[in-house]
Amino acid sequence: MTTPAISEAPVHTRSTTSRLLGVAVLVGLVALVVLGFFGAPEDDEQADAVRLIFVHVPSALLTYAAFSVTAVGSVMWLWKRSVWWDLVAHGSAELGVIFCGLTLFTGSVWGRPTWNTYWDWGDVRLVTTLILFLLMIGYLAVRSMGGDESAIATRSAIVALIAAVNLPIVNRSVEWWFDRTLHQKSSLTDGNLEDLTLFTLLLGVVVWSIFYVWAMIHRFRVGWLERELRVGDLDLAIEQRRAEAHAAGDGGDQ
Amino acid sequence: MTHLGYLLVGWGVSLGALGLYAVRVIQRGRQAAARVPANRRRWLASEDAS
Amino acid sequence: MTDDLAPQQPRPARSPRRKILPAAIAISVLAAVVGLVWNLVGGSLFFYNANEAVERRAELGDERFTLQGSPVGCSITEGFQGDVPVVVFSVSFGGEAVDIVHFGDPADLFQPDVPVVLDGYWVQGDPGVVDRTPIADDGWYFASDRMRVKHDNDYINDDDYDERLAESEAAAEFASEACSA
Repeated sequence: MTTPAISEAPVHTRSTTSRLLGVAVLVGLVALVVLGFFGAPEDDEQADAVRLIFVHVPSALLTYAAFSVTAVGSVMWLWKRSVWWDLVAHGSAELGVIFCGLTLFTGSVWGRPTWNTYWDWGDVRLVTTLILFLLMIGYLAVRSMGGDESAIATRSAIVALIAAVNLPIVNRSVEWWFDRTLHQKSSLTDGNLEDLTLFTLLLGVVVWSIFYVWAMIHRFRVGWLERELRVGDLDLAIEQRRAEAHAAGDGGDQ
Repeated sequence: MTHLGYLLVGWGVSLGALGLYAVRVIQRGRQAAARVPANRRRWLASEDAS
Repeated sequence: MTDDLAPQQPRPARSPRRKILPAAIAISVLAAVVGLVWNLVGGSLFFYNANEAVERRAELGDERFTLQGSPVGCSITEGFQGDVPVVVFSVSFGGEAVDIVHFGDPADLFQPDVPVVLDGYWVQGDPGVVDRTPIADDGWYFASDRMRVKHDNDYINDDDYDERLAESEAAAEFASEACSA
């Protein structure tokens, strides 16, 4: 990658790669809507309500992926003190919260016509997913607190790793509590899907994944720029402090 | 089509949330890039970002 | 550095907001973790399957609990008790049947052989509902007022669905035996 001259530094966060990914997301979304609503067949039991699977399952899978990246980034911060990984962890957590929120919301909307309820507090999959969501909201809250950059990164990394313990529990809950949960087993790995239903579902996963990569590229750069701003403000404050100290010192000598 | 209301709400909120996030992250990038001094807008090539 | 030795203004005290926020977050995270453990313990007994509910009938008494089983096709009757819609049917699981009286509308996807999860309690005696075809017929019924449908992860569009389901489901075998008895 060529380095732009400072005077030509961009005032945006896009690049050729992100543009291509963005176009791919838009084209993929059009295909997903067409196939999701008009291509894939209705289900014998659920009729057209099954079409919510095409947004629910990709959101759930990207929740796992995004929070896993956050966990890796948090470990790398704690181990290597890598700012790059810290920014990746933060950006991925932000996206993970969105995907997790969408998983809960679309699952709830899908649950009403199929399960006959929006929510069930007794279901392990549902409640562990909600707890994961709350923990990562807590992660973002820790990140938004002011103070020392390094201390915030360390505190939030610990919260992320606590939340990461919940990830396999959420994912495997329908297996570990088989016959004890309202939630069905994995649709992708254990399900029996019509060919076009499976294709559309996989397309949804691909589109959501490309969106994640696109958003991560932008979010990382935003994080980097905002960090530059904070560090720049700190440098400016230190310079001002030194100037004040010099002035006070000069005054004392007179 | 059955359950159209549920479908529109589920799909609409999903695509809407992703779209809003996309717009927001682009806006934040532009705002931050405009405020960062030119000599600090080197995020594409910073050694820390390798 | 000599700069650091220069006279300094006292550092401002941390604002109350800065003190409360970390505490609130810490409590929230702690509550979430406690909730997780609580849920795992409770969730492992989210519902009793029909055979377990029968086995623990004496222990459960009139306690409210959640029960799971597959509706037996020939037992399903819908009607009204006063103004309240009533669905009378039997569910099976693990070779045991439980007679159900559900007060309220059935779930949209309520149908034979698709498992339901019901909230209610054991009642001894006759529910006083006509046109019953109780499969268990053991003098007990489960009075339910909340129904969820536990659909599976098969997403199939098949013209011969009913025939295929009847052939493949173990519950359907139980149903045919129970109904013919």
